[in-house]
Amino acid sequence: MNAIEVNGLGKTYPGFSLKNVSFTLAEGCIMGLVGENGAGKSTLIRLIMGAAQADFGSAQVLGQEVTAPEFTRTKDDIGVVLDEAHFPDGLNAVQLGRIFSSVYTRWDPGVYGTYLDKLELPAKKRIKAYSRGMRMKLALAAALSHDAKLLVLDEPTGGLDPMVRDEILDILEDFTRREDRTVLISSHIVSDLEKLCDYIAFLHRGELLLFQEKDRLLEEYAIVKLPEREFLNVPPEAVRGVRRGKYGVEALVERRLVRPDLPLEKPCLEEVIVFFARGDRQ
Amino acid sequence: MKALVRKDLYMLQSFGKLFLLVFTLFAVVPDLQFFSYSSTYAVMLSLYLMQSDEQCKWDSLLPMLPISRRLVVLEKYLAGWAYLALMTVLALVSQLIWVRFDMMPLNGQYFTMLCIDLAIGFLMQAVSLPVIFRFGTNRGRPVLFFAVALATLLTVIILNDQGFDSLLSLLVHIRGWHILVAAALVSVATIPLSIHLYEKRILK
Repeated sequence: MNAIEVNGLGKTYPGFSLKNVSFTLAEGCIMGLVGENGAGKSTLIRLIMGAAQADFGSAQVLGQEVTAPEFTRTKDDIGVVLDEAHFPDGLNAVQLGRIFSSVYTRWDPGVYGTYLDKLELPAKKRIKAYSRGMRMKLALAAALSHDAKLLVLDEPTGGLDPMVRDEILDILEDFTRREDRTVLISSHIVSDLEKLCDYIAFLHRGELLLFQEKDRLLEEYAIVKLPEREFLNVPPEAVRGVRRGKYGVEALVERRLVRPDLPLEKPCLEEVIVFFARGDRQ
Repeated sequence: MKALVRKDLYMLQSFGKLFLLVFTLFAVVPDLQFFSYSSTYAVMLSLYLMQSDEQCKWDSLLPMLPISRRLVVLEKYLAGWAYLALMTVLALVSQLIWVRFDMMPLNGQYFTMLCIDLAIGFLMQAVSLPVIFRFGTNRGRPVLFFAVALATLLTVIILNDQGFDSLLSLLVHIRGWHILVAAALVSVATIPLSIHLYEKRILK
């Protein structure tokens, strides 16, 4: 079964439009949504969650059309973490747990309590007094305590120190040990996604430039560093992005389209993404 | 619904205690003019709760949760109605006490005024909530202030002896509770409008 199916989804705001986004994410997979600030990641997530109305296209989540009234019930199976905790400041974690116990039918106070302990979150302290990292950990604890089948995270690690980011990524890894659990996580910190994800989607200026299995992506593309004159021999159709410097040209190329004797280097995900974005400007 | 009510009660417990205390006092003092302030606060309460939601961005999280938009709107109406009901009970109980100590007479005029004050509370809710659901508290606030000013003006006119008499002569065949029921119905009738306008705002 597919956890998320998006077909030609689009939304236009003054000065920005999300254009014709399509992808399918199978159940049990972790998808990283990468893109610069303002690329449309949050808009796409809002559309997928039925929290905004698409101008065109459609989306199905856990088998339900997101515009259908029944989708409200489907959200019981979805855990959400937004870029900020978005919880009332005056509450504490215990009160928040009581509220969510009335929101989600499968809310488990025991699991929630375990997460609070594990993440060292003071239960009786007001959320107002929490640091940003603690708030995000609380949001994650809340999203993980109702046996969600799908976890949707919008920039959960943005602005956090590496220790907290790592802690959050560990928890997400734990969450996906069960095969039927799916994660959609957006971030502009590509290294976080490289550790975690099976699939990478790259959204750039409202367009989905890339949606591919991460390992295949890293196998299919390579970095080539050549003097300008030699670079002219590289077939243009193989080139996805170019960076020109004093000492020559560095480019992301599709391996199967270039000569095998070229000195190719394995790229990291960040390089692939950066070159794809640069390619768009060439 | 239970979750939303619970959240708002926690919010009031945290930040709204002083306001509630002041307006409870207004409801129980032996002067109906103060009760009119208290009933006006019903809409202020809904506004305060919605503003708190916007400040912490809870309103951005809500559409992601398994809570229908209809319930989100209905709960804010209910908060205002529950507050009005509570204040009325407090006013009536305190009134009986004041009567017992001969501090205030209990007559038909009292009930008429009580009904009119409550009606103003309902009408302010009917005017303000759709606007606030459409524009949010910041942009919707000017409309609310207009409604408060209008309600205050009406109260002053009504409490003025001459104005009250002229109004009574106009409304001689209409009883206070008729006005109250009509205002409550108007308030209920604006719920679908609020839902529609709220959906328009959040789904944009």
